[in-house]
Amino acid sequence: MNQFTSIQSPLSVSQTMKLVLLALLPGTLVFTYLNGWGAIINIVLSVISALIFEAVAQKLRSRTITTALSDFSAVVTAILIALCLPPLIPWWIPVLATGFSILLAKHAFGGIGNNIFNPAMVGYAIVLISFPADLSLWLQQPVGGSVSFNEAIGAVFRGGLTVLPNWDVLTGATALDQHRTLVLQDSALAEIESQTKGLFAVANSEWLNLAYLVGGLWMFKKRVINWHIPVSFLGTLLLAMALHKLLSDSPLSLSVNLFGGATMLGAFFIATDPVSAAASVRGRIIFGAMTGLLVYLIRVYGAYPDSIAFAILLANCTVPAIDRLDIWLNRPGNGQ
Amino acid sequence: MPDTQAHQQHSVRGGLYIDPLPFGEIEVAPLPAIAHIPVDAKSEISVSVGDTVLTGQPVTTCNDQIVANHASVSGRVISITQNTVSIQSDQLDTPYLCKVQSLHNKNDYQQLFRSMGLVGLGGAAFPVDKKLNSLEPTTLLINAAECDPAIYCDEALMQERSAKVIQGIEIAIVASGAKKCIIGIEDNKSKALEQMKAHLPDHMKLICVPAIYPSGAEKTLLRLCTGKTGALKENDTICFNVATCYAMYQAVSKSRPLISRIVTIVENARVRNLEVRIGTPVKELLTPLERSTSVVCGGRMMGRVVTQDHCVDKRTNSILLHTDNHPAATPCIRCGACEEVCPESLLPQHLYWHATTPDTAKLQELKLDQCIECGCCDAVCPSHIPLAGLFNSAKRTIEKEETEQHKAALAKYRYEKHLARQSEKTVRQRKQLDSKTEILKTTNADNEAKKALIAKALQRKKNKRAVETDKKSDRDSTL
Repeated sequence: MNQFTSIQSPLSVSQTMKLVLLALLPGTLVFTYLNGWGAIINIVLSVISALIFEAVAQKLRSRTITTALSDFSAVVTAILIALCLPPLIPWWIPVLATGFSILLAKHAFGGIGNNIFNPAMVGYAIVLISFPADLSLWLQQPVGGSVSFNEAIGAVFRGGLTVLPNWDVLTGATALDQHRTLVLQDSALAEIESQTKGLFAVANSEWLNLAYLVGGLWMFKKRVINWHIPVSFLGTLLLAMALHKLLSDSPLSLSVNLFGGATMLGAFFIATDPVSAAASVRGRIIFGAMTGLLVYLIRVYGAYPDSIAFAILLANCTVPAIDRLDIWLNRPGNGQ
Repeated sequence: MPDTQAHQQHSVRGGLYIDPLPFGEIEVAPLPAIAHIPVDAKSEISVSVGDTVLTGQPVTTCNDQIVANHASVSGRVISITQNTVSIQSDQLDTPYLCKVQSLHNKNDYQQLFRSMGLVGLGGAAFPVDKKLNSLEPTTLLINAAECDPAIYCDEALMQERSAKVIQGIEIAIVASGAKKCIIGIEDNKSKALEQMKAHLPDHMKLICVPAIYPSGAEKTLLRLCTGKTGALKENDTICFNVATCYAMYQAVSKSRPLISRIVTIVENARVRNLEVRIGTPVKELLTPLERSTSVVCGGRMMGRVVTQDHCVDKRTNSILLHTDNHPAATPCIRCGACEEVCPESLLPQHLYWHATTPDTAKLQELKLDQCIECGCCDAVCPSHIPLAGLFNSAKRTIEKEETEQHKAALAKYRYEKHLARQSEKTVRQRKQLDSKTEILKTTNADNEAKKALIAKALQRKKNKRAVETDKKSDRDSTL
């Protein structure tokens, strides 16, 4: 008998995280379809190690272990990392990534609510820089499923994809990789597009991005996320490309930019992490725009084919400045 | 038809919409067995234990700071403490005949309201006469928007007694001397709106405001009705609640002091509006309470938990019950939900960060002083952080700091003045001494001037000694 229940009570952190997990489901299924058993192994490894690291960190910080594990934020972080990693990498890479993410990016900064960098992206960026060779080997999509479970387990626990006898036949470039290679070979954009064309955008990754988009829109409908960051992120990404095309010629096509790489995952699931984004509405719009611009710049001029992780970490660095700027520009309490 | 009802053209961002619950007619609560009349600790109690009092008889005297309090039932005074006068009711409710006062000017009204014990019935219980005395308003704003989504007492009052409310507003216009009168009413109170419209004279303007909490906060209401921002005082506006206006009507037309008020009681999602005598124990109005049940007075959003032995006082606009299950606060995740509902366009997420320290300069930059503590941010916080409470305590800390700083500055100013006086004195003495030495040097020993000086000095010394002995003998004699 609580008179306070008629106020629609806000989603608690653990409810929010459960909804995020549900929203990630379609993307996870498509990712697993494209990459086979390796994807599942990565997810399982990441989630288990994340829970262990979370428990260890709580113990070290003399906090109750159960409350921290029950808020599901560690699970979300682990799955986001697993969705960035290629299949059939040595087992210690996902473990290391979640370790850096939970212990360094999250708990060393004071736990949930105090991390200034997006934990999942810190973990991923560290292993991406440390093991570039392992992290650039993707299976041909969607034949990733043709690797049997036993082969996959063997590869993961005996040093990665290269232990398989026919590994060079199995690997293939992702859409963004292929695009990048063709651009470096000075192919015409029309030719590139025809080679990478899928049903409506770029082959394979279009379905992955579509699944993330569906999950993202569902989260928006459920009021788990606000429109500010995804809209300003995607808007700026498109605007940057349009300007580039007007002024000279952008090497990226619209379909690759929107449906290649991890665009939708970044826009709806990663950049929207409230803790490491700017705190106010206006600030979040600036933050989204900053991320979108950085994604575009790194995709076009950077050394890595995709750039979501670096763009978000760089934008995280600007958050205190964005917050200050927002307070300074729009004096709070002016009644507007 | 004159333009008496205009839809509001101004809007306020933020706020919360909460579905209202249905409620019935105003019921009159039975007289309490013992009424515990709350009195101000500073006021002078004019009855003593054993006295027989009549309903409406003053039990305290009033002055320009405190209004009078009255016996809400007839009976015998059984105990007096610093804060309460308890009266055992004889259940006869014999009225006390107040002498009718003639009202000629504003002062007469203020005097009457003071002696009738009138305070603002919206919840703050600020003395009406003090409010009237504080400024010469051009606009009278009548708050007909309920101050909390779980309170229905004003709505019920307007539905049933709108003619008397309007007469009370007329009195408020005369008493305040305002030239313009605006009534702000929430647009979901259709029955109350109809009743008010039916009795509305031409010179009052009724404005519908959206039924979004906190439309009933006076600052928000002013902005919704007139588009003006800032405090009421800055806009030469005075604001009274409809229940206060009804009390004015009772005081002026019926010579009835403030001895009862309408209280909304929400119990098991059932809403009742009771006309309750001041001093009635809350327990008598409710079904038997469990121990774990908390009694909340003042509404769902800004209410505070009181003990189960609480008695209805002039500010008790509602009584809610709830079992205490407020979840523990978890860290802020900077989601910004609080910012979206803040009616004052503040940034509660930043305020929270600086209020925990508290960092005075940053809080002032973020306009903490504009926070009306409506509690919208609390209601939407996914981490269940009691933001409004934190902001309140941060305000208190800053206030304290400021008083101390002011005190320190004053002390410093005094000390500096003291030092300046001292050095001035030294310089003056030095000058006198120098001039004397000069005279001594330039004149001979047998010089008349020198002799005169010495004689003068001796005389001074003698006088001083005489005074001192006098003083000493005085002291001795007193000892």
